[in-house]
Amino acid sequence: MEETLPNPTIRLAGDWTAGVPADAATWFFQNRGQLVGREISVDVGAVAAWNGRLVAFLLRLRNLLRRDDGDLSWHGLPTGLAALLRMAENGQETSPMAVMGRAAEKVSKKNGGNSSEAGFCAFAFLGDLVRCLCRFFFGKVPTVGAGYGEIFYRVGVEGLPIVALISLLSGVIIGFVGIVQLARFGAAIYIADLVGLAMVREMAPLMTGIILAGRTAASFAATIGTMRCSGEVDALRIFSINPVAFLVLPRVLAVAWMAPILEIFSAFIGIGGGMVVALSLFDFSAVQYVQEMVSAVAMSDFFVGIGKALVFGLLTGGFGCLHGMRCERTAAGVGRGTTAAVVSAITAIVVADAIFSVLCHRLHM
Amino acid sequence: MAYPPPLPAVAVHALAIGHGERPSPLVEGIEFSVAPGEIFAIIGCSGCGKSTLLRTMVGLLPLLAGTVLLFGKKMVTVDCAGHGALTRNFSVLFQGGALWTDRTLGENVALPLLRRGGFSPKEVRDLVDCKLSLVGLGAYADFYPHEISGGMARRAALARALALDPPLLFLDEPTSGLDPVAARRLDRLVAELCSCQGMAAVVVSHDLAEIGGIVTRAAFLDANSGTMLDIGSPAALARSPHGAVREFFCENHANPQPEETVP
Repeated sequence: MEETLPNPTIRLAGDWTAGVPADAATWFFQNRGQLVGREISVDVGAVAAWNGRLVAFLLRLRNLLRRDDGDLSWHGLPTGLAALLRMAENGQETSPMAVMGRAAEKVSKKNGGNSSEAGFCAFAFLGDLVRCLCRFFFGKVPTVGAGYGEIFYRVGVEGLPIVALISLLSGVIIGFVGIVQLARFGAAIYIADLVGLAMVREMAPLMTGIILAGRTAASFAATIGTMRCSGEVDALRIFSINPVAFLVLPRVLAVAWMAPILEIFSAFIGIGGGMVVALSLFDFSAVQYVQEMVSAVAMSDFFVGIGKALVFGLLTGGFGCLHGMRCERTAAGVGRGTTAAVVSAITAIVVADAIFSVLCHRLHM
Repeated sequence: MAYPPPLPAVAVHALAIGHGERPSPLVEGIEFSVAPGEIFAIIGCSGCGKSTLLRTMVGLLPLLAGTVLLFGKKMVTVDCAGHGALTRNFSVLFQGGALWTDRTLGENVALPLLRRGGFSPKEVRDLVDCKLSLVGLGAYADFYPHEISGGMARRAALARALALDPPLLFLDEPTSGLDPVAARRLDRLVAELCSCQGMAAVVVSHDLAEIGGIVTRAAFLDANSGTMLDIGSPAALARSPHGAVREFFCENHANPQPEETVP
């Protein structure tokens, strides 16, 4: 490679099939300051082998020079390379309208704009959902064809095994950790109080909520997001079927209805797990264990747990459907929407649980 | 006694279209009207805004300027209160069909009927059978969309679009991705249905060779100028004073579709 001033000509040689050769890259790096703003000619005649990488290199070099009012011309091109460069150059020139659209898109994204045409904002979604819920309770939302039964089944019945497993293990873990400490003070029987209160008030709703967030919110976001991608949501709108009433409402109702039921189920399974640990390690009878637990756990504790599960269910359903309805119409967009649904649902559940704890403390519940 | 002339199925006036959040319109100054029973095409190269125009006309995208009247009533976007009433006047065959994939073909056709209300279960069953039979899929009511071919899915989507007997049908690239035989069969079906039911159709397509035989008039959108360059019958457009339109027609006619061999 050599350069002649004042009209520099760069002569390329050698094998360019593996990209820019190391010596050429070093030369360009060292001399880039001298190339700025100049009209440079490239002689490709001595290049022994080339492929698309040389085309890309020449185009990039020319774009860089043109950016600073310089230019790049080439000669000695093999026929195929000349044709490729011509086609690539033509492809770079886009119509004024397309350029304008892209610029506007950049401005829109810079301003936090969403590329989806619906502009599905969270507050509009919430408003629409609340309106649909109110209309549903007044019997003004048609339920025909919305598949309520199947959605309830998928959320509730199909969620039972995983809820049972996690709750059982939670009960066992709490029981095991607690009984070892309580036994030091000769208070092992109080493990019934500990497991009972922990499961009914905290662990059962929290575990149920997190399982629903991971399982159901992800499923809602993926289902609705895919329907958006394939135009099924638009098809609903064209038939004057409100997608929030048709797709979102049944899902939110299903998860809000099923979450308390799963929570009660989870609490009993967890208490059972704790009891198994206690009975296997100490000489209690099951009756003693249950009597102790009943004396410690009040009905208000059950209602707190059920209330939490209801709220966690609403959050799970709401976030799952929201991220499905607002995700971009691409495969990656659906993936991002699903991830966002799970993350936001779990975060919201934990935040709501903290708020519940403070409220219950203030209200002496 | 003189009757007033029938309202145009679609009347588009000084329309500017684009994607909602982008300030610059993709195409502007669009003017045309479609008479009841007419088959009208919107043609142009890829990316010129044909599908955007269709989505704007049916209310899925906001219009940036101008008006769209469907049978004399002003079109509004889907999130506006009046859109529901307007949907009684038209239906859409989406690109790719957009069938509801968790439902059988029969359920796909039945859902609009059930949600509109006013049909007994027996009427719904009969209408589903009738619409699917019209498109040659009478025996496939219990099939799911993934169990049938692309051409059949497109015909099933046509049956769904016709479920409520709309006086106006929008078709977005109805034959894209179909083999020539299936594409011609679908075109002929649309033409026959329009002729039989007096239904108007607005077809968006980039392939004039396929739809040229059924359309009465077409509008040509141009991405470079961002305008509607020309409008007229296919024969008139082939002699257009605009070079871009003539070039489009020459390219289309340079690759004629093979004759159909299957009846």
